[in-house]
Amino acid sequence: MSLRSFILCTLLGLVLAASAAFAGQSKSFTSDQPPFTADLHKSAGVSCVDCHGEGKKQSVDTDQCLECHKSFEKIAKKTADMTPNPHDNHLTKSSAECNQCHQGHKANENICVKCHSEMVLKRNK
Amino acid sequence: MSQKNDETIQANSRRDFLKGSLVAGVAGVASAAGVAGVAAAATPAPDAQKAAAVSAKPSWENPPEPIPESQIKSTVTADMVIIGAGIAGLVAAHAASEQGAKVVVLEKFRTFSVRGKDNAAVNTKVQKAAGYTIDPEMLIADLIAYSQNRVHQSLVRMWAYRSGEVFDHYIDLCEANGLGVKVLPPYNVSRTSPGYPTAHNWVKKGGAESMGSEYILTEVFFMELLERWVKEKGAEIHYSAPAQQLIKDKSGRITGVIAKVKGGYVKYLATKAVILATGGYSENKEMLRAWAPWGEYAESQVYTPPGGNMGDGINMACWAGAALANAPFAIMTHTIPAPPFGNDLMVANQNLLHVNRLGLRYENENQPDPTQCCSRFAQPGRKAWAIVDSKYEKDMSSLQTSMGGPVVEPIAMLEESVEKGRAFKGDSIAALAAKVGIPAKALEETVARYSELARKGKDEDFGKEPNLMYTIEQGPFYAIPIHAQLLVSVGSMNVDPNMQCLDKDDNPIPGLYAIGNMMGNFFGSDYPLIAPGLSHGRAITLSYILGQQLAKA
Repeated sequence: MSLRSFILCTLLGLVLAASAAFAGQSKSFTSDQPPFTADLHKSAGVSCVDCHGEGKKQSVDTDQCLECHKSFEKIAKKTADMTPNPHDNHLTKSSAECNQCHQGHKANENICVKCHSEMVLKRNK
Repeated sequence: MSQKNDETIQANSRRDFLKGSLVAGVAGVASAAGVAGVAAAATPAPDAQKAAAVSAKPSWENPPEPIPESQIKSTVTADMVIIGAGIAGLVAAHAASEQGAKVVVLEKFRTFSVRGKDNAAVNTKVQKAAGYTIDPEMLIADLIAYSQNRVHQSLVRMWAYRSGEVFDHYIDLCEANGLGVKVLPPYNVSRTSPGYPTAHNWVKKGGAESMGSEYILTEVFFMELLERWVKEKGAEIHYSAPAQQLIKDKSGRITGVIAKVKGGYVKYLATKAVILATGGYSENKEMLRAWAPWGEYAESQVYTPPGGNMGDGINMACWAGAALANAPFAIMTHTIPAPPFGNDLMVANQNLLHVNRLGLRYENENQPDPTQCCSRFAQPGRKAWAIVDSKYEKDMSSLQTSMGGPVVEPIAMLEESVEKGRAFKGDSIAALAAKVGIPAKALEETVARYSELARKGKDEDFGKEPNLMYTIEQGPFYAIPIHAQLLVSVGSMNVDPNMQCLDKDDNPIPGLYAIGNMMGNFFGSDYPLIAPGLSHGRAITLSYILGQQLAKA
């Protein structure tokens, strides 16, 4: 990882840690809706091309996310105070793609509810 | 695995508007990935709309441009290359590597795929110890009748007669590694509805043996061990390596497959065989509509891991000239209430009084689970409800089904469902009918008649077993919608009795085999719950036999 990426990731980590609202996501969003993933990244100093590359409008794939975030295991540690931990489950171990829940320029979506209809992700108090 | 690395998922999720012609308007699958990444499904790129107009061919009839040799960064050679690390793929890999074959398994996800819990086998040591003896010929006859004989009987027989020995091998291995194996009593047994105690569960001490195990993926316990045994025997499992295209030589033999890995493509050559084990297509709307359209009537589908059942292998096989079996293909649709209605309304899953939108009874409700959905689909508006009174828990306590009793929720849970709007409640039948929105008079007459027949001990209308008939007289009364949940599809490719894929002229394609839920000609148009766990049971038994045979060949 370049020094620049390292700084960006560190900044981003701080923003994420400071954003209590981010972890309060559930299938329904109200006025206290957390900021969009893209806005969080932007405010951490990550530029458009850092994620999207130089080409024409491109989606951000999981490999790109993991360039900075390293691994689902590492991300799961950051959300260890949530029940259930959205980053430690049978999907994050197998097929999960970051943008299934984090669509960047839209509100986060809890895809667990597709099967587990009443699963609400809560931050432990 | 990245989404960019998996065009097939992207492509298939966009089928609704692409109409299978993704690659027609762009320069092949590799560049299609770039396009696929551009837009959300709701807003197709202009290129894609143009492509849809050019061709309406389904994905499996629309081969992509071959991946150029220049993009291949390395080549791996093995005796066998198996595509898909599900239960079928890993069992085949294990069996072949036990015989000393060099095996590579390719899997698009980061780990193996697994779900469910039941595994069907006949006369294993666990069944014998539990006092169950199954007459294979009776079971075979029932399965053949259930599938309208649209099967290779020799494959059904191979499962029935050899599952015992294959399972015993795995039972020994599991028990030596601290994993128990239990057999369940048959589902829905009665004179008119056969049921066989075929379902084996892998169990660990603790929750798995309790009734709550219904929702625990006990199959994971087995797969974790299986993955370890596969590796111990020297086979390689390459995760995050989605197979893209099969390789065919001039003679027509399938000699390998090209997979995409981070940074490029790898060519996997197989000296003996390529085995397709990528599962079903239940998440692929285009395929579902073509081969099992009633699957779309299901209120929901549950499949894990999402994206694992896109029919990737079916596309690859068809592009290489393999033929599909005769549609329709069997799918697993269970009468399980599902999201957004929650997973708790199991009472609707039982053989209680069923009524349709007209307030009329329409069947002998004692049918194997999947066929309960099928009859509901034939009712007005495809809607139906199970009707119970307040003594249903007591009534059903005498009923013997799997898990040591019927899977029904306590009345307190049903009350909670009523509060959440998932079920209906009325102090009288008329009040209940009003809540459901069906004719009160018709429902009153239906319920009165049903209670009369229950008291009489003879179902003169539909012939249900008298011990399954309970009066409906003690209010309050409940109506629970009968919902269907699509789980998986269980057949597609036309194979011969050696599990070898056939071409359009029904000639075997040298080097290409299909196992597990990719294999056709094993089920008819529905999944037979008379032998619970048969999808896994077939996968384990037949994949083991094939893996072993090919290794020895």
